[in-house]
Amino acid sequence: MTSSEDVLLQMPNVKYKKDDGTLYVMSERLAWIQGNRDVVTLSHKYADIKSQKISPEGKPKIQLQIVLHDNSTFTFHFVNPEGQQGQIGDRDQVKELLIQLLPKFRIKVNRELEEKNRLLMENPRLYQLYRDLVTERIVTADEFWASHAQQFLSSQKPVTYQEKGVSSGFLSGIKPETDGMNGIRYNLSTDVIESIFKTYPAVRRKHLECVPSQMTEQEFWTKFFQSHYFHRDRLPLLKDLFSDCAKTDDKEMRRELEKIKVVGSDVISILEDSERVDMSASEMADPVNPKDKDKVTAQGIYQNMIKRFNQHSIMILKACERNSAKEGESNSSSNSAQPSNSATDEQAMVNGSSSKKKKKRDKDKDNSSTSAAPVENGDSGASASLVQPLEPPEVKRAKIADKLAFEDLMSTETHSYAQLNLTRIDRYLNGPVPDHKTDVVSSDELQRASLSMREHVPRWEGRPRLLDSPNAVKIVGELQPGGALMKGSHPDSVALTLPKEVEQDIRSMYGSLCEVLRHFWSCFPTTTPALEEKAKNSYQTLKRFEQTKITQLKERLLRDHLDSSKLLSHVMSIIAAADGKYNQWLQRNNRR
Amino acid sequence: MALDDTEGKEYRWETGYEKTWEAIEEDAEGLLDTAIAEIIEKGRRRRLQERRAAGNVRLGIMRHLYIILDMSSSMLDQDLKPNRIMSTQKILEKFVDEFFDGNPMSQLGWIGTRNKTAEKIADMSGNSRKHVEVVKSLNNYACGGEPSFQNALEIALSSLRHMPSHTSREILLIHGSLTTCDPGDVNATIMDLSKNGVRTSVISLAAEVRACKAMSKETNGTFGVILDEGHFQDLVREHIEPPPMAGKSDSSLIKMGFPQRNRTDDPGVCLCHLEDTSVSKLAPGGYACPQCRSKYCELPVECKACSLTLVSAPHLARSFLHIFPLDPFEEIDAIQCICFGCNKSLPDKNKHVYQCKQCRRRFCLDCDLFLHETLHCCPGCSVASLCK
Repeated sequence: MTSSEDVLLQMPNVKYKKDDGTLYVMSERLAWIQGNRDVVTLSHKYADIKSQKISPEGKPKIQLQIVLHDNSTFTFHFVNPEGQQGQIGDRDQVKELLIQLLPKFRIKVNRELEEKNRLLMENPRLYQLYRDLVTERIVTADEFWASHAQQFLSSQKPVTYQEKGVSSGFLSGIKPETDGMNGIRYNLSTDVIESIFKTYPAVRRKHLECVPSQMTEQEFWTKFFQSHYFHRDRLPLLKDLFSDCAKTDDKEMRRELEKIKVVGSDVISILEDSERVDMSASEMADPVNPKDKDKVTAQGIYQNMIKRFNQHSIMILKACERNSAKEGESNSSSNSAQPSNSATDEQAMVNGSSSKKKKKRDKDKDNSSTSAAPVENGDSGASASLVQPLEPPEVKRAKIADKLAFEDLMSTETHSYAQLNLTRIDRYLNGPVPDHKTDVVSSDELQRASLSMREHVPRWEGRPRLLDSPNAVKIVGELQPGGALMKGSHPDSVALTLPKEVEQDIRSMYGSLCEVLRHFWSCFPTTTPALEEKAKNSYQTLKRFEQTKITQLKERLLRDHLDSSKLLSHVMSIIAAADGKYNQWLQRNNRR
Repeated sequence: MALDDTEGKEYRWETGYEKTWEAIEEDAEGLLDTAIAEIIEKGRRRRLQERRAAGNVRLGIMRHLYIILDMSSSMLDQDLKPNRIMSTQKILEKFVDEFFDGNPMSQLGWIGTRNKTAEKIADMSGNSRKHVEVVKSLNNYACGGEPSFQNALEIALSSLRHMPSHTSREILLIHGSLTTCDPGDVNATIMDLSKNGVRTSVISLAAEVRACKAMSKETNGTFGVILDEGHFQDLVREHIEPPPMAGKSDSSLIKMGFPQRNRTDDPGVCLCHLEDTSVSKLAPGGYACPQCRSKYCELPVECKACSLTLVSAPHLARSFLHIFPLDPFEEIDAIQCICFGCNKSLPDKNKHVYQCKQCRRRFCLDCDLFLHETLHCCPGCSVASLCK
């Protein structure tokens, strides 16, 4: 077997057309090999098989027949030497497998057809195009779906799934309500659940483990809210489902702080120092075991709370980082301009206080984790990075200079714009001068003309000269709509009185023509051989269109006694323009 | 504050005092209120001067501008009457008209962001009437949630990426919230924007947000925070002028068609209204594309059959107004005279009078700005040539 498909079932002792052989049921098709040969004699994809039939009970011959979509049939005879029972068993095995496999492939084919049908139903324009082009054999169906329907297909595709960021205040959305009977309800929407999973991957892992194997969603969330992990004062002494989540969180937090240490401010030791100080303060009141850091004292509660806030913010940022992990590490953030108390602490910790001038970015090739981030908390337009502990002096100098420079106080820089080089500006201001010579009138003559005009006008008398009547009638006739002097102001009577269906037909014909033309004109200028081919094909399509659709319309119009030449002259001119272009292109091509 | 005592201790809900900061007005000395207005107007003049001084600057005349509107819950704030989103709508309606007046060959697109996602409200198109309708339909979008600028910028970028390089790619972001909830690192998006030469400008309704300021600086756009509705309008109107072209794109020849309007041609169906069955009809007259002879009712338009840009000469000429602008007027000290443009007696509160260098006529500040930004010609010069 040369194919790389899996053989799901191998059934020897199957006869086809009185030849012995083996039937192979594979993942995508059914195959039968004769005798001991290597080459497959018969093979049919499941997608082609419409149905299977088995010989009725009681018949001596145990057979299985497959019917293809084009109604051809293939019959397999099971001849297991063990007797009829064995044969029935064999056949039933094959039958069961086929029953499972066939529907899968059938659905796929149907789905495509269904999709196409749906598109046609939803888009009257597409339907019209389909009717005009495919049913008239101007364009084959495949071509139609490949090229003409593309614009509709792409607009049907839903907008690519957008990742949603995690709102930093999502926990406040989980407001508990009392439900009257001493119980508390928490309303969890999918949004909130997703946010919780994104921010606390440990919880998500727990969720995957427990639901639905050990407990239902409801139980899981009830436990979550009841656990001390969620509670304000987290006491790690209580063991419940989420205690290890708390430990993981702590570990993550410490890892983040370690990262910061490299950057320049050793936050961990500062934290430890402060804790030691607090311990010594509270020790005065109560000798406390230093291990019980989280003991519920007044100080302890606030510290815990702040620690929780900071952890929460770090986790949210990490959630975003995980999303853009492929863009390289960056520890700057997009953020709000109203920092809350904990947020400022957290930002100071995460972003660190180091910065690098942007031009340094290029030089730092060995530091692959550097990313130039234009947004930096509290710094002026510099980028943050994970820096090696030992910094060269230029970097230090740059940092100091950066701290000293304040954007607002610097003089505003003038931008350098791209210059526009114009030669002969007056060519833009005046139109092209016509070839023929106009009379050159000097400004003196103009003056004289206007003065003489001013003298003449007061001398005009009020007696108009009358026309004689025949002339007058002729002139009035010419000035009426439709007359010799008023061509075009009156809409054509022919066009006004068209019956609705004819107009509809003409309009749909224009639509299809536009589509065909679009493909034709998009091929020019032909730069690749593929385009040349396309040009030829689309020209053929256009010709076919002309022959079928236009003649149809002409006949229709003639039947209705309408002036087809006038109504279709525009269409003919469009086709003539396309003809001209094609011939010109052919000529040029042949000349080369 | 003065207002407190005079109104007799009213409460906020009785609208006894609103916009109390407006009461801060030191008359006769200091002139705090008018000083701000003056600063704004001086800023405008300075910008104009800068542009003229730079000589002939390459401008992006064929513009592709995406307007990203913040539709989060902060836009329902009532500090702009009646609320921020409706005020924005009003201003943008006027903007759309003026935009297509000054840039006839440009295209506009709309994106909105709310509930942590962004959606495309309208695709890029050059039809001004359609855009006025889009602005009016903004009422149908309920504001809420948090905005996500990264998503909105990604949508705009995915479409602007494919625009030809001789056009200018721009984004105007109007945002009223102070936060953005993004799925990833917005810096990466900003880098992407500047790599693709997309000029992002921001108008903030609330306060200066660091991320937005950095973004506009990085991409050579402008950044502004509004003081009140009038200032908002000014800031939006700044974007009517074509921006200087970023980057050094080679000059390329663009093929354009100049159809003539004719009324006596044979009847045909126009391709611009093909899908609008109520309007589409077989009628004579219209513009015929010189390449493929298909009919259109209005210009400028891109031919559907042969994708040729069809414009008329006045459209190009209107674009020239930006390349050959009116020379700036010189600023002279206050002299008793009458403004040639509006007949106001000068000097008014501005203390400066502006004089055209050629015809020596004098104008007030408002007329000066109007002549330079909208009219693009000096009435004194036009009249002077006639009455010699």
